Amino acid sequence: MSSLVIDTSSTRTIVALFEGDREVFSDFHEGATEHGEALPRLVSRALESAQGSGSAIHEVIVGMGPGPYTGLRVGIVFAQTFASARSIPCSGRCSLDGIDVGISGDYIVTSDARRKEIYWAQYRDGKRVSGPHVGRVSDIVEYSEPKFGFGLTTTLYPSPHLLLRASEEVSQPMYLRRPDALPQITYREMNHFDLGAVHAMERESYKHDPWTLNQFKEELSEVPRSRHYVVACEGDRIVGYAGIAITLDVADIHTITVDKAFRRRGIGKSLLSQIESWAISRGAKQLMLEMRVGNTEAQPLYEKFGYSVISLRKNYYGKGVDALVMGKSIE
Amino acid sequence: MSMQNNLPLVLGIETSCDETAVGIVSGRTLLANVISSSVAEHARFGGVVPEVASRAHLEAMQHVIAEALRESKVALSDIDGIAVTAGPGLIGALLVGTSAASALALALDKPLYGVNHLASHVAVDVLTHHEKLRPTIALLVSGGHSSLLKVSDITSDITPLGQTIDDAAGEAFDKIARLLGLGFPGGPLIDREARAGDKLAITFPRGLSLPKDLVDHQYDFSFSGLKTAVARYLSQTPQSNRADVAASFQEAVVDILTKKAIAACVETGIDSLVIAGGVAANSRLRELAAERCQAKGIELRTPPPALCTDNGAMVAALGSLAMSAGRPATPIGLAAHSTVPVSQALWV
Repeated sequence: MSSLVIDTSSTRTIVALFEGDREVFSDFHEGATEHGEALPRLVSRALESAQGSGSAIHEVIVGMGPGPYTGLRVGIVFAQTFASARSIPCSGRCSLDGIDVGISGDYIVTSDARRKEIYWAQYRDGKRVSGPHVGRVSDIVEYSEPKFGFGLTTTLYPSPHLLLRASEEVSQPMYLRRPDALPQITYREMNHFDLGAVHAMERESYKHDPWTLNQFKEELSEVPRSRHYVVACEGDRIVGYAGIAITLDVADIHTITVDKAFRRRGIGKSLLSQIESWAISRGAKQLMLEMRVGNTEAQPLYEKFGYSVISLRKNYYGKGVDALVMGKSIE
Repeated sequence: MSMQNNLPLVLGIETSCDETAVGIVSGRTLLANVISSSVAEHARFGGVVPEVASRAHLEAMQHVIAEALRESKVALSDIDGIAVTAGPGLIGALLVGTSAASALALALDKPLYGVNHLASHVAVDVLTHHEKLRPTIALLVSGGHSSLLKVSDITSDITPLGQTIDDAAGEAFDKIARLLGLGFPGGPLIDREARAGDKLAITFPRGLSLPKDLVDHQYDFSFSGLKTAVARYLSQTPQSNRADVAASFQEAVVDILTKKAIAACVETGIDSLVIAGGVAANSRLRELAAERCQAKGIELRTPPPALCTDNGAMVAALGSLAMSAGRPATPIGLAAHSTVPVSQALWV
């Protein structure tokens, strides 16, 4: 009865084989991007040792991280598939539980989480009492316990023997971070098939005085002669739009609108800079716009882009609602 | 034992992009084809996110293998060999597949064959026609690739003739579908919309078709100019008809694809054309290719749509052809590669 132990949570690919508690094979390969090639070779050698000893493998133990994801997954999927093909159990461990610091009492263990961060966990007499967590080295300075591992001492690696003995089973990979990607925003010219979605957002955003569908159609009929209209999309969904008109060398920003749920993500800024650069490429020397007095979201954006208040138009948006006229000159 | 009939029983694993797929074939007969896709998750991001795809592969792998075995009614112990996509593709995604395949090969003590994703798209044809693949021209068109290949021997002699210099054909379908407000993925949606339209309504440009282009790019493709032309047309034409735009765009794509594929057949004297990859499911591409092949006396082979998109059966098919041909297995410790020339059909 033997146990195959695998860990790929660090720069090392670690493989060991135990008969009961006795180590029959143990080796590792150093190489942060070589787990995929190294693991089958090491396991193949471990299997040869197993044949020599004549004892069948009855379980696979695998480190579930935390650790850099690509290498980590190599170990986990290998261990799970090997176990399933042999109809034996596969059991996961927290890789930090395998790090042997040689002391008892309270201590903290860390490993490299990349991006200037560490994975860390607190232990008492070899038993994990908190973590694993991901964070910065500065996050753990307040703790008084002795600290070991990446960022503190020499880098430490899981010991197969400790992984074998670790009692807590872990069933899911310990990623500790979510995938980075935010839904991507893309920009393109507006066309007539967009008008349904654009007009719906128009009515939602300017309840009192939205443009009519016909106004949008008239605007688009002037594209590309004197108008430029763009939309911002998340996948197939329109989440913002902007339009500008040019007469001789004066450009007038007609609208910049961003869906409520998508504000504060730089979409308005991108829309503004796109219509601005179109106007400038068409020879605009003056950029103008009108906005409602008290539009606290838009005004700072325009100011950041170099616009200043030129005048106030009384009752521009209906009785009691004044407009600010803002503008900037292009050198 | 199946091997005695030279009909190796092969399990194939494919994880190069967003599909976790396992197929099982016996010689040239399809026994199982199981696919778990993370496409719905990626649709939110406007494209495939590698880290999301890799996590999904790990989650799905054991289930997909078990399901393929159940569907094929074969026991794992009866499998003669394991095949796996080792490139090209997303490296983190490929590694999940190659690691699972290596584990199977070691656990079962069976040979492992690392295969080329593009070559296996062509090899899948044997599962439809059940005969040895004779020398053929192959047009491989999907969301990630648009290539024209000369395939003298699928396991050992593939010559690339041309490929896209910008967008893949499938990518162009996705982008235009988005412009037309049709949704994602674009291929089937444009196909359907185009049926109600006039394919001759608008003349969109055929990329790299001018005499001067043909000097250096005889068998290359370009779809980014077409995409711009459609976008420009839409913003300048208030009364445009969506079905006409879809049909005319689709016609521009399939016209240039089939024209160049037929030209390759004629010039090389090869009277067989395989069209594979996700875009090969397009009905107008199939129709026009059939028409033009017939006119030139070329035999056209197109896999059924389910075998056109990424799948494990095509990987198993190429593995099975490699075993039958007596090709050496890939040594233990096979390395996945994100980019690899199509001429390298097998890993050695």
